[in-house]
Amino acid sequence: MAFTDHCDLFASFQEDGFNRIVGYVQQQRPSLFNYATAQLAANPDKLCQIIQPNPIVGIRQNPLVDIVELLPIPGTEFGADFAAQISNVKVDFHPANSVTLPAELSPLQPQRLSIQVKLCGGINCPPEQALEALIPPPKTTADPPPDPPPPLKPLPLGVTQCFCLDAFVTGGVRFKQYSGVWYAEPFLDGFEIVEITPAGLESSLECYAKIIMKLSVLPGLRIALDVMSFQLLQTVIHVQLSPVVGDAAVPNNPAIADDQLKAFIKLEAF
Amino acid sequence: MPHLTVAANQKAFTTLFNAIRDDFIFEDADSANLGPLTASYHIKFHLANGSVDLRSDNTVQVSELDIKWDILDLTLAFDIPEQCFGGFCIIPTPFGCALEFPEVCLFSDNPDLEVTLPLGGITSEVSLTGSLKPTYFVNPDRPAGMNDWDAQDADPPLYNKWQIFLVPEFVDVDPIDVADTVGDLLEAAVNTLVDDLLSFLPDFIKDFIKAALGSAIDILRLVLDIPDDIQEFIENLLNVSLGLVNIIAQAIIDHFASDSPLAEIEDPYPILGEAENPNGAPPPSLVPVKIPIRDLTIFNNDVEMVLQANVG
Repeated sequence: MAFTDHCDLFASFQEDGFNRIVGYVQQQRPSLFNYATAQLAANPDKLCQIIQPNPIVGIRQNPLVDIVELLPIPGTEFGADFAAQISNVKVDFHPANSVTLPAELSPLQPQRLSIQVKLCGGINCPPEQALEALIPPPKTTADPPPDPPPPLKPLPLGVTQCFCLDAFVTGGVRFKQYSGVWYAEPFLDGFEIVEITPAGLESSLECYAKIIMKLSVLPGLRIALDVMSFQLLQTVIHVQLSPVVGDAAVPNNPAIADDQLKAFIKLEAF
Repeated sequence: MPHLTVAANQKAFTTLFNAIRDDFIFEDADSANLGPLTASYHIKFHLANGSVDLRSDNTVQVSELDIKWDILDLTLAFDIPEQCFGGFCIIPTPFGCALEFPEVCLFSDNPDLEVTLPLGGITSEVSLTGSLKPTYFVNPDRPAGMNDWDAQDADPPLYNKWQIFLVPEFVDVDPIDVADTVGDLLEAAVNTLVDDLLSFLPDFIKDFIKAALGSAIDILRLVLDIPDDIQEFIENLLNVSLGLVNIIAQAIIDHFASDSPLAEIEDPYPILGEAENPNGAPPPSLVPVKIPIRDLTIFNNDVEMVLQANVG
């Protein structure tokens, strides 16, 4: 059986190769995996995980982290510094053989992939003395709150109280069109953080992490179809690539099977 | 198992091939001294049509590829041996010659005749069989120590790359067939030359000399010992004496084997393009994410071309 029996172009990524690609993404685009407030971003030694970027990140002054807003401290003009980091990303295409999923997500369903990540996070705790100095005096007048509210002020940096958890993701890859361009984009359908109690805290963290993954991390990992085809047709100007859809011989496209991610692509030259 | 596999079926491969076929334009000019004849050519041609066949023995056959002659100018410069007529007395008298036939010498120049035959507008054919080969191109203009991102941003880009060529192992160029009217063109040119050379003479002398010279073909045969068939003579001149068949074959080999790759893959390959800096400028954008491509191999069977590689 030929690779292209039911398509014009076929592309596949083997699991080990895909993990290497993820490793390069982590090194060259660390801001996709690391989130922190501005103060912590400026003091990477106070992050929970040491970031080891490719030298080009420093040469081109690319950020190590995606800077996020301070965590508001209600009733004050201050916000707490915090960081959330993803590391040790490991992808396992069906059948499962390199990531051991927790019971909640096991077994890995056909046409799905699993991802194991290390999630580290922490809130920076200001020095006690500095905190004491910031305790507000009693208010003598009841002024209305400013509109709009002023930006939050950071607290003096102290020690970042870090924790790390193993998290597991199950999901897949789908083709989706944006502005006329087809992309292969990862999607998430299961997320589990292990060994957290109470259950409500676990669920809350899972929900928050899932939102980050869905809205921030995974969209950054989309691969345009023309790139996926390895620019094999870069010399051909008048060509349009699209996924094979509705062919009974290609029930899943992209397909995740045999430890590979496979894409079946149609070519229209005009 | 290789990390990456890309396969292209016959249709996709043909699309690739057509792109480099259409990219081919060859122009050349040269001359050869063939005794009393100097032949010069100016040629320009492109390729069109042709059928591509992926074969089970890991070769690719391209049949009936048309050579479209945009320019096929053949300039012939003849050095015809000088021919002198007359110089004798027609009516002698005791007092001298009453009427002398003046001596007229023709073809005293070198060359005596230069004629350009526009032979273009015709189509020749070439077929070739080759195999796909990957090569790694190290950009010679890239300064030592330049990083991969600076190499990509340079204008022109200075990155290294994998290139996939269709390397012809057998090229068969059909001999050039010129139109059968070429003989008429050449004869007309010679007749015009003789008429021009004799234009200052009275008609009866002109007729006498032309009768002595014979037809244009006779003149050319006199000079070149060419056969009666001018068309055959011209074709032999183009294909053998000037070696255009070999020149065409070499141009096509150079184009496919080293000048125009079927595909190029930048190394390291930008798997994710530039992206907006999430923290705002500066810098406005993040560098592309690049992956090194290693151990690239390529082969084909009778169904598809398969490219495989590892991520370094």
